[in-house]
Amino acid sequence: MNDTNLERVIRELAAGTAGLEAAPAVSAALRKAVRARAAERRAPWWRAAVAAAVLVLFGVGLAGLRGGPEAPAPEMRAVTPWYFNVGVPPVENGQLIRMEVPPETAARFGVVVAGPVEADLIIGDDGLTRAIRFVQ
Amino acid sequence: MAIDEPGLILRTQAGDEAAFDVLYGRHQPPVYRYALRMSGSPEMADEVVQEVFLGLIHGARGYDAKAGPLRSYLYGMARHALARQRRGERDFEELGEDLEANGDDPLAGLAREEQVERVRGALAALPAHYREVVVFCEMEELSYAETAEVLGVAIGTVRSRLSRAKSLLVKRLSRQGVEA
Repeated sequence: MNDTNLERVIRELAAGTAGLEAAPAVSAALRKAVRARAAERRAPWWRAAVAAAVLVLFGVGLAGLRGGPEAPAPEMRAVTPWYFNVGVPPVENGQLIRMEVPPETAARFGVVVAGPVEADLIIGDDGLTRAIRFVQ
Repeated sequence: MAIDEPGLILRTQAGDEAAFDVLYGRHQPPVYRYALRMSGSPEMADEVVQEVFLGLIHGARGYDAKAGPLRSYLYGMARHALARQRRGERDFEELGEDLEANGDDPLAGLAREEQVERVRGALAALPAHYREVVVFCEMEELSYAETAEVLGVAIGTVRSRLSRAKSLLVKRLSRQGVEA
């Protein structure tokens, strides 16, 4: 078998996925995150509160991908504990955001839902997700 | 017309949806295709796209326009996201050295659809560091230099990995032919 024949078949394989794009739900969730950024800029006190919450959360220690104690935030209506991502380097700063995630993501944490579900995410200032919890 | 991508990133981070639309429209398709071709899972590819663009919206620390194009940076973020998603899962099979390709074309005599399916399966069975050079060089049609930049390796490494990947693909296809 020569490389040309193999490359031809690989190109056909590539052509079969050439026009595919992410699901519309992904775009919708990201747009929501962008709008949240705009809201943060309009309400600086909220940003400060978020930063304080993140500092508290990071202060309790982010060791292990495991459920931790609930942070005292009664308005959050959390239905799962925080799940922390141990596979990323530590950071000093980050943000707490709420967004819709697809049911497949929730299922990875044992949360079975029929459709998109709201979740709180802690995003480090390097853009990587540090922790997630699901809310009603 | 040149697009000021660093400016668009700053505007996106400030909550400008129009700037986000431009960045997402330009870069989401290749990031999604890469994640899909690497993982074979539309759901995982969606998650990777979400994580990559969330990173862009919430900081994207480390992107330096002088160091390279945004697309290479986003591919790099997608690679890390995929690696994290796959952590804990069984790695793909490393093919043994015992079966040598015999020189016959293992795709000969097969219908085109079957050829594509066999290559898809063989590609999915490649170790990730070989599969990604095939995806970047042959499917995304990046140059060796662009691929080397994304992977953070020398151009020679890209060449040798691609050569080795093709060799492994032929072996896998030959073995499928024997087992079929």
